[in-house]
Amino acid sequence: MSWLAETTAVLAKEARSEWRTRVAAASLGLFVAGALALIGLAFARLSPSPELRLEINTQIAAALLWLVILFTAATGLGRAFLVEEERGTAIALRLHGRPTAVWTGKFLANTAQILLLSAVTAPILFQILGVDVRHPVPLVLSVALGCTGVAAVFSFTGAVVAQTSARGGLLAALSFPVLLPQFASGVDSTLRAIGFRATLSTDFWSTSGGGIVQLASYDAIAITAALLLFEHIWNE
Amino acid sequence: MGLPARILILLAMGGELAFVFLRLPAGQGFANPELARMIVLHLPCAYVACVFAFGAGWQGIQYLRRRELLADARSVVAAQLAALFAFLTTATGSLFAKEQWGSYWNWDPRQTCVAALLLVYAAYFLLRASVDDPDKRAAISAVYVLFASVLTPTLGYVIPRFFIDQSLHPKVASFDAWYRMGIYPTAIAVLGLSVWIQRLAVRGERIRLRLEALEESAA
Repeated sequence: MSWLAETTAVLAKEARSEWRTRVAAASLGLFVAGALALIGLAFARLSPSPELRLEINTQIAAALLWLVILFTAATGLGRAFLVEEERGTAIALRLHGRPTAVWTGKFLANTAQILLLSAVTAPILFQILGVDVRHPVPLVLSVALGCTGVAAVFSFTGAVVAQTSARGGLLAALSFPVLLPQFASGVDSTLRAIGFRATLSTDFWSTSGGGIVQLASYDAIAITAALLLFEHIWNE
Repeated sequence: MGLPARILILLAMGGELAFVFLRLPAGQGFANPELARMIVLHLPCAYVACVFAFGAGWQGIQYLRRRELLADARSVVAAQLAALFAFLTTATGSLFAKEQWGSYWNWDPRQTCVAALLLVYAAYFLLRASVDDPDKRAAISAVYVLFASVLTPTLGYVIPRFFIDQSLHPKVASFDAWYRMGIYPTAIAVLGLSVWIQRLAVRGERIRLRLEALEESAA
C-alpha cells in the first residue's frame, strides 16, 4: 500500500468512526456554543454606550476568537491517539501502516474538525460582539493557517500524552507553551484582518502579510518536526 | 574536571563579580544608570540558557540514536540548567524592565520567548514525572524537548528579531569597551561554572544508573 493510500485509509477510518457516534463533534460543538453564550452574556454587561462597546469589542474580538479555538482544540483534538489506546486498537494501527501515514491521517482529521468549528465560531462571535471585518479573505487565511498549526501541535502532543499515565491536564500543559508563537501571530493577524491595526494603510497585505508568513512558517515547521519525531514515540 | 580548571572558573567568577560591583561604570542613556549594570548579569544568563537548551535537544537526539540512558541523563541535566538560567534571565530582565520601561512585564517578543521556554521546561519535567518506564520516559522526553526546541525558541526569537520591528529590546546592541569587558568574560565564566555543575550532576546520574543495573542483575 502506498503512503497516500495508508494516510487516506486512516483519515477515512477517523471520518467513519466519528460519523457513527458523532460524540466528538457534538461535545466540541456544545463546548463552543457554551463558550459563545458566556462571552455574549459577559459582554452584554459592558458600557451602555454603543460606540464605546464597539470600540472595546473590536479590540478584543481577535483574542477571544483565538482563546475559544485553543480551548476547543485542547478539549477535543488531543483524544485522537488516546482513544486508540483505550479501545485497544493502537496495535492494529501500528501494524497497518507507516507511522508518518498514521500521524498524517490523524492530523488531517483533526484539522478538518477544528477548521469546521472555527468556520462556525468566528462569524457567530463577531456577530455577538457586533464587529465588522474589513478584510474577510485575509481573516479566513489567518484562521485557517492558525488552526492548521494548532491541529499539528495537538495531534503530536496527543500522541505523547497517550503514552503516559497522567492524561487529563497534561495535554494542555504540553501544548500551550509550544503554541504561544502561533497564538500571538494568529491574534495579531486576525486583529489586522478585522481592521483594528490597519492604521497606516488600508491594504492588509502591506501591513500584515508578515503575520500570514509567520503562521505558514510555524505550520511547516510543526508538521515537519512532528513527522520526523512521531515514529520514536509511536513505536515505543 | 581537573582542579586547575575549577580554580580558574572560581577565580574568573569572583573576578567578574568584583569588576561588575566595584569597577564597572554606570550605564549611559538608561533610565537608571546604576541598575544598567544588570545587563552584565542578564545577557550571560540568556546565552547560557540558550546553550543548555540546545544541549538538551542534542542529547535527546543522541538518546534516540543510541538508546543509552546516560544520554537521557545528560539531556535532563541540561534541561534543568536551561530552566534555571531562563529563570535567572527573566528575573534580572524584569528588574531592569521595571526601571527602564516602567513595568516588570511588557510582552516584548524576547520576554515572551523566554517565558514560553520556562513553560516548555515545566511541561517537560511534568511529562517525565508521568511516565514510569525509564526507556519510554527517555524516548518521550527526548521527542518532546526536540519538538519544543524547534518551535519555541526559533519562532519566538528568530522571527521577532528579524521580522518584527516593534520590540523594546534593541535589534542590534552596541556596548562600550567597559561593558564588553563585563558581558563576554562573565558569559564564559558562568558557562564554565554551569558545565562544572552539569558534569557533577551527570556523574551522580551515572552512579545511579549503575546501581539500578546492579540491582536488576542481582534480582
